[in-house]
Amino acid sequence: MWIRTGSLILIILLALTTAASAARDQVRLELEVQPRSVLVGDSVEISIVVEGDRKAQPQLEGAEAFRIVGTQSGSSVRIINGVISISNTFTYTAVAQRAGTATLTATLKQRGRTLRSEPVSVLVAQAGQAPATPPPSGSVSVPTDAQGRAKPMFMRAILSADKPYVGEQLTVEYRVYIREGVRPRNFSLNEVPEFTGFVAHELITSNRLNFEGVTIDDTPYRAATVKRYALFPVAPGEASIGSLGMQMSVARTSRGRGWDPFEDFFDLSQGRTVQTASQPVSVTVLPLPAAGRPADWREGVGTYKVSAQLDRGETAVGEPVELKIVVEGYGNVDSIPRPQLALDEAIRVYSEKAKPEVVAGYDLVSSKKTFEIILIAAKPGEYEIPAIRVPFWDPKEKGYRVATTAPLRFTATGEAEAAQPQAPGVLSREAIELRGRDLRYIRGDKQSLRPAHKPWSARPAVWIILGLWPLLVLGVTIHQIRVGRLRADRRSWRSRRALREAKQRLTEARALLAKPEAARFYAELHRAVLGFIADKLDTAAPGFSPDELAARLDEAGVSDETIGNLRDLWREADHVRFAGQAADQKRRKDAYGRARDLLADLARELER
Amino acid sequence: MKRLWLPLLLLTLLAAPAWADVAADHYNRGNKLFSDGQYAEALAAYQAALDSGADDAAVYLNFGNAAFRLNEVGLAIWAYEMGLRIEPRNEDLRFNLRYAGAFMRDEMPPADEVFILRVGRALAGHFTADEALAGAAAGWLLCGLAVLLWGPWRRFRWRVIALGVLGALLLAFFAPIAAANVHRQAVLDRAVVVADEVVVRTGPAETAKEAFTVHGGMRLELIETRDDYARVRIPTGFEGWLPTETYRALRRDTD
Repeated sequence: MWIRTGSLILIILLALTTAASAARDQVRLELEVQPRSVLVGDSVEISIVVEGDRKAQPQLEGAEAFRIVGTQSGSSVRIINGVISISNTFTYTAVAQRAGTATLTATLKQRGRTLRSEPVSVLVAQAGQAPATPPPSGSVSVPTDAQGRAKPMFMRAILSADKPYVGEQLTVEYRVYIREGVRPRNFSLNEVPEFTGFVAHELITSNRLNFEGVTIDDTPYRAATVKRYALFPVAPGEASIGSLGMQMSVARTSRGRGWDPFEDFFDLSQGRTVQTASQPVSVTVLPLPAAGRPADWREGVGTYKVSAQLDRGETAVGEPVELKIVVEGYGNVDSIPRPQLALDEAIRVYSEKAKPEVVAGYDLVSSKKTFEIILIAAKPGEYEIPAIRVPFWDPKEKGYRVATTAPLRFTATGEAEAAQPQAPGVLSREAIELRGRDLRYIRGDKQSLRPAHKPWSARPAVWIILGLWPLLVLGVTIHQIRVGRLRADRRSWRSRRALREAKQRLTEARALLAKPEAARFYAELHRAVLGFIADKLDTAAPGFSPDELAARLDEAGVSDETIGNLRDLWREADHVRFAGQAADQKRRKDAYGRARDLLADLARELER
Repeated sequence: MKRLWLPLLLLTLLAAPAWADVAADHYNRGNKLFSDGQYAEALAAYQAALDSGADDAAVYLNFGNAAFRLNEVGLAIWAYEMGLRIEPRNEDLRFNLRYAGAFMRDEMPPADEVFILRVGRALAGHFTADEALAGAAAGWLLCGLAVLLWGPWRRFRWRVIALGVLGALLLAFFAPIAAANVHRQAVLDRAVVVADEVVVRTGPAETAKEAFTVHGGMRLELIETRDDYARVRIPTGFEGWLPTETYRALRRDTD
């Protein structure tokens, strides 16, 4: 047993070692930087992943603009479908120190050759730096209050252009202006702008306000950027940019102390909270010119490049080949449709996936859209995918341009496939798995079919029953609790039930009025009256002699007349029941009436 | 009026099998046509069965198969979805829906990432709204019954507790499913695109700007209808207007 287990472990270890050595030949190097747009002083995380070489020590090139402040590393082993992959991850935390675009590359020396990762560009902007298209300073004027005095604090939305083209990036910058002598403490945004007619992306902005001195209408102010957005107009015509509102806690600086114009505004030396908001702005969006527009242009606006690759150069007929097209650059990548493909008739397009990635920088929105297209050749042969074109309007050049790739080629081998007449032109990846299968067949004939009917949830009766049920349960439960409590108090319980039970016996006696059984009639009368008294006095009914009963009733405050009536009825009942005295119907009716009156008197007097 | 009551009842009882026969006749005729490869005629026969008042999963399955054979992927998906509304655990319908879905040109967004939501959705998909409501109602009634019996059946306390626990379990299991399914059936207006390709516009007019394009089989949520256009939302959250003739609602008039 031990030998067998040991052999098994040895085989597994051998298999792992063999697989590991096989995997070692395929070293993969990847570089990732997050985020890709930062301000000077902000930190980024740089990750280098080396797969297939456990001892590798990669280098980072092009990181002069960053100061590395922390390093971490870790490794992981994955086994997928029997293939082992070992990956080491080196993570650097770096602080951006210089503005500009840094292009980072990871390198790894292995067996005399140098592996290089795909380069990654990181945009580093200076905090508080003016936008690419500086706002026209003359457009900002000082607002005044009702007395004509310059407002000590206000906000403006400043646009990079007032007549953008459809799809062209327009930058709006919200800036707050504060008079010299006023010290801002903290702020919060309480009105988020709405952009009608635009696709908007927020650009990176520092979390703190970096004030700089400006002079507007000969008045010294301090201004800071609060928010910045990249806006892409979707249609020609009027479009509007909403206002941004903020609350700011402010106080006077020592320099501003005693400055009269502010006394009414900042009359507290401890400061106060001030609300301000920018005014909404309208812009006119121009249509893109028709002159020079390529026939295959659809909606692309920006600056783009395109690349394409096939995941293999040779495949079998009926087997998938993945074509990956990457369009990247600056602009609204969402508007870029999948480039048109001039494919051979024998190539079918299966799944198409489009994955857009948008990274908002300080000034521009850099974007990337990856199209993954599965192609399947139905016949053997050499196939060429002609150059892929991505036409776009370039706002910088004010003209149309076309980004292209080189043609791609692959070979399909094997037998030609039979046509699938029922299949639509484009199938998904799952369809590839389902090929060769078919629909579950139709159901057979039936004598009758299920008719359409209203679901239960649409029937009010169902909800009424379900709603009434807890009320019923509650009602019954309350009743049960009440009965339980009464039973717990036996004396009270008997007293409350006394009259009801006596009446019940009287009813039974009444039923015997017309019958010849006089003794039974009087027995019921006797039980009704005595039972009532026993219940009221909480004692056993048969335990009384007439004298004892009279004494107890006298103690309970019952009048002598009532006690006398009781004695008379008792005596009459005894004579009929035990002495065989005759009692016709008239006499019994009279006795019944007296018993009823007696019970009423007893009830009244005992209650009292 | 009292005298009319009995004849009317008899007439209703006699008429019910009559329409049932008509719907079944259409359905059986459709099966014959399908077997002969006359899919268009079979589709019309199944449609006639539905128009005759049938709301049977078998009709929807066969309708979907006929539509699929005619490359009407959207119509087939609509039919399978309608069938699953009645028999959510029907394996044939589930497979055919998956199969037809594989032929859709639009990729549906991935399922919920959160495990609990994924499990909840899968569970809800195994019951009709009526089944879930019946389960929740049974739990509700059992819980109340346990409360009622708690006093009088004190001698059988453990049996009453067991009854209450069973009711609570039924209620806890079925109530969320019933809520989700009843909401989906009664509140959400869902539909499926049955046209091969539809341009979704920014407004309810042919002249409105094109927003995006959807293809047969795309699930829609109807927001509002204006004239011959409906404002819809697709699973990715985008909204727009499309002609009402290009989709079919996932509900019957009786729902």
